[in-house]
Amino acid sequence: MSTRPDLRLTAAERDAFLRAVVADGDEVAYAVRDADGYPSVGLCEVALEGDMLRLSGDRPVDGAAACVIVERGATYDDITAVIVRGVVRDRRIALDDVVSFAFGKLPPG
Amino acid sequence: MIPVAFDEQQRAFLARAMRSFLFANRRDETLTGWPMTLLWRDDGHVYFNTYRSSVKAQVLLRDPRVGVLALHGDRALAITGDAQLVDQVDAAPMFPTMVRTDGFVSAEQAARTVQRLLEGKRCLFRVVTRSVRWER
Repeated sequence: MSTRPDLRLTAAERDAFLRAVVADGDEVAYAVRDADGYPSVGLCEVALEGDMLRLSGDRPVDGAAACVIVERGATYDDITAVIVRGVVRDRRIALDDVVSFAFGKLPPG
Repeated sequence: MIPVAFDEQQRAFLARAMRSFLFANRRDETLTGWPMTLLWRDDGHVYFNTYRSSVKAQVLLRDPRVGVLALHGDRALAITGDAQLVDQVDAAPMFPTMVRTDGFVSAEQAARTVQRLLEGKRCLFRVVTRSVRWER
């Protein structure tokens, strides 16, 4: 029986990745659920505030179900991503429901 | 629903854009998302592929409402729409021309994806566009 490689970032890797993206001012992709239940997408900068991500911009997002994807990768094979799901409160989303992966952790071949 | 048409500038952009982000609804009506490689064949829809057995495929089959953010260069296109699973018989002839390489996806990676699509391990979704706007 084959086992899938574990591509998840450790907590330390995740924190370092998020800090690097924030420090570089990279924009991230996000979506908020609109009135018809469709994910309405956009780009924004984020800041780390404790265990929360703060979304920049003036688009009204508070109270909405949201997902933020923080991603980097010059090629498909070196994509690293942190995906945060939750509800935006005061333009912040908690780093509670988070998945992450780094394709760079895939074994060769 | 009559799909919203992409204009000429958007079609030219989508012909080059490979990086994208796909967002969808989970069962509890929270959102989730994935970085995706975008596929395009200039027939009015964006496409993407995933493993047939993946959580992603199950999420989209349960609730097709999606948002897509496509990126290329300095521009970003924001799309909402409904994901439709493309029948394997219809999808198979599309694969070889849709899976592109431009340095982001290697030729080896593209060939592996096409093979898995043809084997039926991967499946193809199209997005029937409901709205489109330039995000950047």
